[in-house]
Amino acid sequence: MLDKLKEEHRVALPEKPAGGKRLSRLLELFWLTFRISAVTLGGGYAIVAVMKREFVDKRGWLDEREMLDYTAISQSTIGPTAVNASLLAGRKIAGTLGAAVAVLGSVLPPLIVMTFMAYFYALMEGSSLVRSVLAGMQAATAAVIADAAISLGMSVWRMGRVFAVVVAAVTFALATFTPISTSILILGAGVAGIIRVVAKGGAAR
Amino acid sequence: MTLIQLFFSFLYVGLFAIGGGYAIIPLIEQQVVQQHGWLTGVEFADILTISQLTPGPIALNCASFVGARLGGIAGSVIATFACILPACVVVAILALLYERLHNHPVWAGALTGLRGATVGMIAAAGLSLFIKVILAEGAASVRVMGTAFDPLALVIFFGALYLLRRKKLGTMTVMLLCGAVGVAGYFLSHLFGG
Repeated sequence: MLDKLKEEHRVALPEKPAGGKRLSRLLELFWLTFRISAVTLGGGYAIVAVMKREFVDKRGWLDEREMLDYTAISQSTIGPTAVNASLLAGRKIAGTLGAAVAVLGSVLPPLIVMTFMAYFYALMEGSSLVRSVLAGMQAATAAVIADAAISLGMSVWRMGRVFAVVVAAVTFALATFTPISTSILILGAGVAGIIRVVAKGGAAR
Repeated sequence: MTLIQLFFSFLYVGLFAIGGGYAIIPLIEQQVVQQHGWLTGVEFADILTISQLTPGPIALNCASFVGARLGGIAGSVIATFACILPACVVVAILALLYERLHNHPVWAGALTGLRGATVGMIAAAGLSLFIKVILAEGAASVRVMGTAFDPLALVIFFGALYLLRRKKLGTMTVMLLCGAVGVAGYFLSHLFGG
């Protein structure tokens, strides 16, 4: 059973380069993901876009379809999109070790930078000048989040899924007005989606 | 707070954050502000803002900062890795099963529900930050019926939303502009308010 499954779903890994060549590819992969994570502003989606440029367009390590699929999987599962995408891309480029190296490369820059930021913040938070900068930027952050919610909401609407829009509205209301735990809301929405498909006899899609 | 509690909190965050980035924010807020009271609402709003301003994935920036604030370097490392651990396990498994799961109707149905919930949660997080921001004690705040109200923040919010949606300006440009407006408000209120 497992063998059959493996046979059906074998992912074609590129021939692993031997010895020194393999090490140099791992190092290059680490340096690339580290660099992308360290300098790319704008979060997950922006990072995936830069990854595409580096892995697909510049180096030809992946083809376009693979990168699209990886992005889709990364967005539709748990965890940060950028980390998931680097895991999948790293696995394809240099095997299991490649996945580990790519994840580490993506994670280290925020870890280092934000640890420093936390110390600076502790030093500065009393200053009323800093407070006023942060206040202006917080209002902008609220706008950025509202913008994301509007864009995502519109894409859910465009897909013609009234169901998803209803789920969004109900989740919003429950999250805002009741103390129901976020995990219950998320699991509930997933279960509702499954029930809907099963009720339709598995024909929906 | 112990580091073990911190680990499990962020493991929970990583396990239920579906859809990346902004989806993770309401979960972190629920854990560290509402459930455990490790940070105040104002501190969390600051952290969110700084995470937005710093390069790298917002979810990770946020986790690293919260961890560092609560438990120094060890806290930062623990929060970050706990946050990505569930995703790494699940994504590695999904990679093996991708072709089959991709078109399976039950999987697709679950995803439809999950996408909807993600939008709803992000909207709720945005509203909660919006309320926090306009009711803050800022340089330009006035008192309305006993509570502080910051009209400058309200103007900045709608200005920023307009620039983002209609003018398609980048996040960073908008954030920096709004920071500058905040400082200008501070100096003006000192000039005229004494």
